[in-house]
Amino acid sequence: MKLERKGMSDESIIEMYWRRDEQAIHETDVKYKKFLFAVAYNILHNTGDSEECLNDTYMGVWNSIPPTRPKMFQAYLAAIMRRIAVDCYKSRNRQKRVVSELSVSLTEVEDFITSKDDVCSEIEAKELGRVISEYVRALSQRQMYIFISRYYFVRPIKEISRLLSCSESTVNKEIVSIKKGLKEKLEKEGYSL
Amino acid sequence: MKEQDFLNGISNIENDIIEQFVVMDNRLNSKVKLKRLCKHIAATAACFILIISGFVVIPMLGNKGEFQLPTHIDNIIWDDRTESITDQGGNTYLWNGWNLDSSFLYEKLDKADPDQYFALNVTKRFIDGYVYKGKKVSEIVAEKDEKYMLAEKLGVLIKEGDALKYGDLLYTQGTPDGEKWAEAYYYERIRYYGEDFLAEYISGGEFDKVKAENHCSKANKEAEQLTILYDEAYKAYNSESVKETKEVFLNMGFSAIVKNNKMFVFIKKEELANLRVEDKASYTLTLAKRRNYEHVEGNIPTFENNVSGFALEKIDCFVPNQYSGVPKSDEELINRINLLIKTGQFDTDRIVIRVTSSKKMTEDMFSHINYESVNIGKKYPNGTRVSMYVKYENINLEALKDLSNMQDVEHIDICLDGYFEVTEF
Repeated sequence: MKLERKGMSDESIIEMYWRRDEQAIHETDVKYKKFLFAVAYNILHNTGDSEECLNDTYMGVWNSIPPTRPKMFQAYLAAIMRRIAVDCYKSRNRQKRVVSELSVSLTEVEDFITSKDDVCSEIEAKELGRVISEYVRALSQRQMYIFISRYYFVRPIKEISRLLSCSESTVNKEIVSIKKGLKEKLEKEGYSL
Repeated sequence: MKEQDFLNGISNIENDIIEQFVVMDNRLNSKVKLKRLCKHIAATAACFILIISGFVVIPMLGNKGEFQLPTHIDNIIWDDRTESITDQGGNTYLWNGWNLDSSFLYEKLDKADPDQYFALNVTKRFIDGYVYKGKKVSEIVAEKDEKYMLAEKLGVLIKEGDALKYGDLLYTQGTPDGEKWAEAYYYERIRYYGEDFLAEYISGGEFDKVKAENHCSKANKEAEQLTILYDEAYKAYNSESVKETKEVFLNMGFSAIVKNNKMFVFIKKEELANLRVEDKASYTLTLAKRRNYEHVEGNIPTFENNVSGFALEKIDCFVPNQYSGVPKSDEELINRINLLIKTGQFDTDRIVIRVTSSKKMTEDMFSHINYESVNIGKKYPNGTRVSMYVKYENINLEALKDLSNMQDVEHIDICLDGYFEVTEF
């Protein structure tokens, strides 16, 4: 038995966006709502905010396709949703510390983080993204999966261990090893930690 | 680094990584869902049967969690070649960083549809550092080579010792038997053996041939034992590494299983191309044979030594890496046929019997052979060459004996289907 994701094919949905057919948003919602909601909810831990992010994401997709023609629609949606959810987290966090999986995952990398001031520029953030990408590419497939699950999609350890069919402590051990490697990589690239 | 810098850095992770993640995530999710569904179906079925059978306990749940192919077995790309099992020369071919054992697999990967699954055997390079019975593989190999070299040196000395014992006389005056060497050649041989080595077997103008023969025989035996040890180490390593390799692929969400001591993974072309594995260069991929996957070990016939009277001088039975040439007795021929079947059991279900005759022959002359298919060469200038493909269980030794004794039959080759290139008649 083959498990298929319900809904239209990604190519057809993208075509609808290109034709400016508003049904595209509905089809995106049918196919990816659950996935996208989970991305936002892991970051925000708030149903209302996550729903709002979901709507912003659909709007973001509507505005960016065309001219964009995503190579992989699901990854494209995830990146938009994540950015919107993180922005929402930041704005809420300015008022008070928000307890979410993101704040938990950030405490895991406290040894990288010194303070919350003097944020670097967008260009510097891109460069940091490149350095981290370089590091992630050198990881094994399994470690890459754990790293992206935990720090990009902010998934709980329990969820990662369930998907990888292993114990939580195994995932935790892998995370320690990945973090150690990342710290070394960042130090080598001249980042002060 | 600031918290927001880290967050922004993570947000800027490059797209291809996120795309790879999504592919893997979908696969893992499907697997988890499938597992859950299987459990659910198994549980529902068990309940249903429990009810209709009046609460008779039937072990229905025994199969839950069993390995499942990602698609129907007929939709998977297997190695279906019959002409040649292995590529000549042991070359490897690089495809997206993976070592492939054949150009055949390279071409298949090149031409496959994205939705097709490949059945691959994945093997890991035998490492020198592997320790077996307290010895590193590199040490076993070095010792084995040393023993073989010593045996070879002694073997040559056994032939040349009676001449070398004359020393300088060998190139100045020659031996009493009239043998005389060129001076340069003499010194070349001395360099080859080394003076200390020669001194152990030649002293006072006498060559101790018996000592050299004993040492040669001992070195040969030790080298053979080390070869056996090496083979054992390889088997032990292979047995461990297939399990480890299976875990590597399972952990990445692929369907992987060990069968007949081979690791099978079922994977699509794009997945394979994008897969990143630690120490990728140490793996070699082989397109798997379906028989290898489906065959149950031991499910082959063994023939009794109860047929005699083969025309042995006409028969060659090629057991890969072991025997070729005319067998010395009926018993040896039958043993070779048994060994041939055992060797080939995972790769093919049949042997090939090739007959060369001095006269034209027709299919009906081979009806007792119980062949699956027959190919009678039409271009053979004098007489006939016939290839018959016979399933193991249909081999008829009596018919084979009678065939060998036919007057017009000049020669019979017996080999595994696929082990030799098909000759163009």
